[in-house]
Amino acid sequence: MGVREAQSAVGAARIALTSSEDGDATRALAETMVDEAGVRMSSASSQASAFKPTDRRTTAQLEAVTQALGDADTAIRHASEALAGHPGAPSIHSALDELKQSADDLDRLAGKLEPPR
Amino acid sequence: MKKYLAVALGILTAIGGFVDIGDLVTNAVVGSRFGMSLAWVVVVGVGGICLFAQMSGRVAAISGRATFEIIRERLGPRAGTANLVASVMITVMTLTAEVGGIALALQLASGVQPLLWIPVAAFAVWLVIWRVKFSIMENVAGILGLTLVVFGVALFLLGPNWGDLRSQALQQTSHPRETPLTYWYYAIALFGAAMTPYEVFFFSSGGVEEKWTEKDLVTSRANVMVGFPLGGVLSLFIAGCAATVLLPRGVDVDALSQTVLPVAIGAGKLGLAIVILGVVAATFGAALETGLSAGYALAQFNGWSWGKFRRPAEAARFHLTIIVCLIIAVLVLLTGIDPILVTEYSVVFSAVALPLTYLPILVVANDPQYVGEHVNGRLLNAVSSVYLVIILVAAVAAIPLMILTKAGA
Amino acid sequence: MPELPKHEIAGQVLDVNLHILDRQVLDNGDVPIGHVDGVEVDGIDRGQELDPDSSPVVTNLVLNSGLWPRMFGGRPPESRLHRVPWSAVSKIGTAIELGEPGSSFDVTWPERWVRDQVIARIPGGRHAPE
Repeated sequence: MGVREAQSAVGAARIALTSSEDGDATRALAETMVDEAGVRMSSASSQASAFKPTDRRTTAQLEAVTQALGDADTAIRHASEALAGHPGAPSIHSALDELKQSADDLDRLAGKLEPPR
Repeated sequence: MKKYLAVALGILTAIGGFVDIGDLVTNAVVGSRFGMSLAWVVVVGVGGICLFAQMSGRVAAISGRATFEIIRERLGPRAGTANLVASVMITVMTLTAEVGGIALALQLASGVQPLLWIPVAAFAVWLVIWRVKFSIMENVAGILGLTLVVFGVALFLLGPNWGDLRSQALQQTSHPRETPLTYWYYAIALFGAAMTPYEVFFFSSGGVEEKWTEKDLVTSRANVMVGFPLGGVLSLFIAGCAATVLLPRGVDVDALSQTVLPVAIGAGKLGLAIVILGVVAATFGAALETGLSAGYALAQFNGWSWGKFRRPAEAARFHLTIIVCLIIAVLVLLTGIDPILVTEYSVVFSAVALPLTYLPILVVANDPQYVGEHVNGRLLNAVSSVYLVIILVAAVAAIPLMILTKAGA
Repeated sequence: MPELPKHEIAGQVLDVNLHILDRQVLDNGDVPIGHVDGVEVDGIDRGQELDPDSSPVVTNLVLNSGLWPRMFGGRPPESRLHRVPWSAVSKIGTAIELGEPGSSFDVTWPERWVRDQVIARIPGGRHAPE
């Protein structure tokens, strides 16, 4: 349902921001990575919207996933704005917090969705 | 002394020339999803390409005939034509991936959108093929591509847990989000990335371009036996970097930026600048090779005059073919298709096409009419036969696995 | 290598399929001209036994009939056949070498056409690479 793609996108955005903060990555590289994460996020969202729930349980799951993906999408967008540094944009620090929150939510969701191995 | 320098240059060129966009992307993807558990595929693939290149180089040096002339002569009209069509299609697909790779790398360097770089990159590739001497082209691209060794430097600077990496490689630790199907799919993809068919057309045609004779056999063998394995080590560094930085964070590689990020983290902005240079050089060099290979394949099969050692006016249809292939690559890329996607498909299809080129070379390397007394020894034939089986299995399994795993999703 | 029949007359014994068909043809300057798609033989009448005293003679090589006949069989019409007389062949090894330059033969016209129309018009086409 696109959860894995979302996790990957959020992870990429996080590491892009932290490396930019640490001075390892150039701003250009970080921006490219966050942009690409945004594209990945859209693909994840369309995967979720293509999913057809079959019963009440999967409907509830789909709702949770859609919510989480929406939050992740917002977080990545804020990360992009933070990097661009426009006036009124969130700080990198808060964007990172948002991304971390999103990552934790997705991890929890993934644990519930995937059958135990 | 001069001979040692020539050998050294050849080896360095082979190392730098080994890695192309397929190796970069596939090794990074594999490292980020499977850690080092697929490292053995790189070893097997390098062994195969060494074998393959060595045989085709020998045939070129002794008989003066290049791969596709031989395919036409040995396979007969229908099988030969089918082989040609498939090989040219794969080579053009790989060319498209390489040109896309150049554009992506230039984007990382400049921030300018890849779509704008695509025509520029293709034009530059054509210009070099048109005007620059073969040996200069090879040596410069190869030496510059050697800068990719920064992946190794970065890996050491990242201070990974070497024990972890080793156990991933040897004990095949399981990865909860992957299935055996995706594992084997990526094994085939990695194999196709290491044993690209165009490499063989190029190597044997290059031998004829540089007018190899029996005396050059030793040099060519050294280039292959030392250069390619070191190139394989480079591939493992790329996977190792991804395994160290991206695997723990659950980032599945799907972009060039993610491939080079570990180098930035390990070696800072300087490392980043070096690796971007290396990627541009490696993909540019590979674009030259695939462009030329498409020309070699078509021209040799049809018996046209070919080669960079001739003035373009004396190899008109050969150069026209290359121009047309570059135009096709540009048109495909301008549709906005993701070059990484093209790359991922091209390596899998390379694995499918491998038997087409491998088998004729194996047969001819045993034919005294072509190689005189330098026929394959029994050990070489035994090992080559084992590889033939591996190649056939990979070729047959590739498409079903691609369908079953939805191209590795 | 299959056993080739022995003949009393001295010379090279060749198997058409193995040594001639599909082989690269080079001119006297080692420039590739094309490949052999067919061999024309004179002196074989349909329905008649071969006469050992007047054996059939190879008259021409047919080159470059194109991809279509390769894939689907058949051959191009008479007027389109690119012929090279057998007398022009000087040596047969892994390739078939001719004793004359490519320009003496009609078969090289596509190459010349592309050269004049396309390649010569692009700057630098006539120069050796540097």
